[in-house]
Amino acid sequence: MSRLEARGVGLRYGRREALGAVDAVVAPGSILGIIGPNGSGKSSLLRVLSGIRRPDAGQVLVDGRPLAGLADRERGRTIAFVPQETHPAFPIRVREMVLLGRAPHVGPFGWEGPADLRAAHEAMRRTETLDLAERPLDQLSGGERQRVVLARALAQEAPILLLDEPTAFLDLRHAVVLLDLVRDLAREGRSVGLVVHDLNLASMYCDRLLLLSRGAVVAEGTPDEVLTWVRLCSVYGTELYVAPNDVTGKTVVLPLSKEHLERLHRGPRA
Amino acid sequence: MSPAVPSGRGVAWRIHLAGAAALAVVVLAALATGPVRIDPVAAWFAPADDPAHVILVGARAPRILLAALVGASLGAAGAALQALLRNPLACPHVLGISGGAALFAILASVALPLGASAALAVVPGAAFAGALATAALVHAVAATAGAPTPTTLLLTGVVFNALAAAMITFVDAIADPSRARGILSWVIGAITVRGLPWAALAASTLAAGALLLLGSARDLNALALGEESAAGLGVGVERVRRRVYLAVALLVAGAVPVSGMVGFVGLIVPHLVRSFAGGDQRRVVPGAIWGGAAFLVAADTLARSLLPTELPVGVVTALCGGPFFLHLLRREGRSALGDAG
Repeated sequence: MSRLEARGVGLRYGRREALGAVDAVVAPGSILGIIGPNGSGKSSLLRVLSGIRRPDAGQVLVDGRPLAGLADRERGRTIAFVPQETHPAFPIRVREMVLLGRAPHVGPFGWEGPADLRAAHEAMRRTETLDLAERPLDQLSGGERQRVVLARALAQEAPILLLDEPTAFLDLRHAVVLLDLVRDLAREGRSVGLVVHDLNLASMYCDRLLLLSRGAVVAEGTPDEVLTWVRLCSVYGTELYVAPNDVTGKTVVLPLSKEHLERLHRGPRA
Repeated sequence: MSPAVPSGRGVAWRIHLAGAAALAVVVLAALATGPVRIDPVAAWFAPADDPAHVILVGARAPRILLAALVGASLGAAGAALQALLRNPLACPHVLGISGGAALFAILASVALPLGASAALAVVPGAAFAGALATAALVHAVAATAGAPTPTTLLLTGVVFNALAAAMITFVDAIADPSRARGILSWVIGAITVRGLPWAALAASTLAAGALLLLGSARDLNALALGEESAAGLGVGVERVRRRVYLAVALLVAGAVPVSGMVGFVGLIVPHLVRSFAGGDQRRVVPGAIWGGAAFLVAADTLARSLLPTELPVGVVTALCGGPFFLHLLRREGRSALGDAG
């Protein structure tokens, strides 16, 4: 189990500031959801947390030690990071893709040994992708593909799992299947950080949420604490319907169309 | 529990065995073929003054050895560049790295009054510097574009090749004919036997470059998923990139002084290897080393025996490679040219 912590991290792309002095904690056994409008710095924060981007200010700590001090391979054994999209340059089979998760465990001239094969097998079992092992990756559906990418991350056997919008291209059923699995993985003690676009999925699955706007933290806490009507309307710059729902008791967030808004502002008519 | 995921270790050994066998067959055929057909085994054991023995040992064997070394170098470099740049059209020639190396090598050999032994040190050094400079430029272009758009890269290559060809032709026109002899054949590429030290040099750069690339093959597999995915898998992307460009520059620097700008070897061979060995670079790189050697030995044998006069080998590789390149362009369509992702 490992705890990942960002302390006052800042990040610039040229002159544009993507993040300014952001604090974040990804704790063992829980899911941190990073939410916010487009361009608010969600993916940037995840990149900094994963160590693939060095912050220009502040630092990232793993169990209190600076992440920057880890060698690349050691970082790969500690943090499994999955970017939003994976487009292999060459045709690749599912089992080869999953075995790549063993990259930080295998030496430069090495091939996978029995331990690596077992880890990949276990990762594919968990994600129910064993039947896909020999299929070319580019022939899979979006849902299968995301499960395979998750299997690759699991094969890394890293205590920290960071996923950038894992449900971006999935329909509702596949999104729920994937996030159910991610939640199980967190319950087993992994520290999970997610960038989530869908606030309802974020509300349902995340233990804590971090709301970003223009590269700064607007709110941090449990979903019910963070997802308030006034805050969301102001951060997202649009009128929303925000209320707990009857089934889960969790907050649901509903965007309102222009037509509905006009009707709302005109008030009920006789 | 029986793992459903077999290891590829056995397959890698099969690649080496199959590659070595294929090369041996091609080399034997090449030793036999030429203006005079000879039986290589009989000629080898013939007395030293036997004409067949003289042809075999004095002419064909050195030429074939050189073709094998150059082909292996270009094949390995092509495989690595295609993986690194995630582009099936990349190879040292197309990217202008061969052109940059040839340009520098020509400048050094013509501008400096070099004796034979000085040339052996300076010309490959200049070729290495040229290859490295072009590779650095390719790298810079790739890096500034964010995601390397293959079109930009290929255009950089076109420019460098044109520059190199122009420079070579220019030097050929103005230089002392005794020093510039044979220089024009560098433009299209021809295997040029320059003596054992040059072959030894090409062999050492091949060994060093191949070792670097074989050691990077695992990381190249991760890089084929994209830079961020690779970084997330604990690959030091920048370090791997530098290592691969260094290896490519070494390989090209050994090949160019004895062959000029031979095209299409590094382009075609990795595709052929991938078509039967899959995309794992731990198989593609060794496959491209053996396959590149066999391919260029075969092409050079055609070049020297097809017509009464000898053709530069680059003519043969271009005649095979040109249509293949067009086929790739058509098949990969926009995705190979990459702008639309």
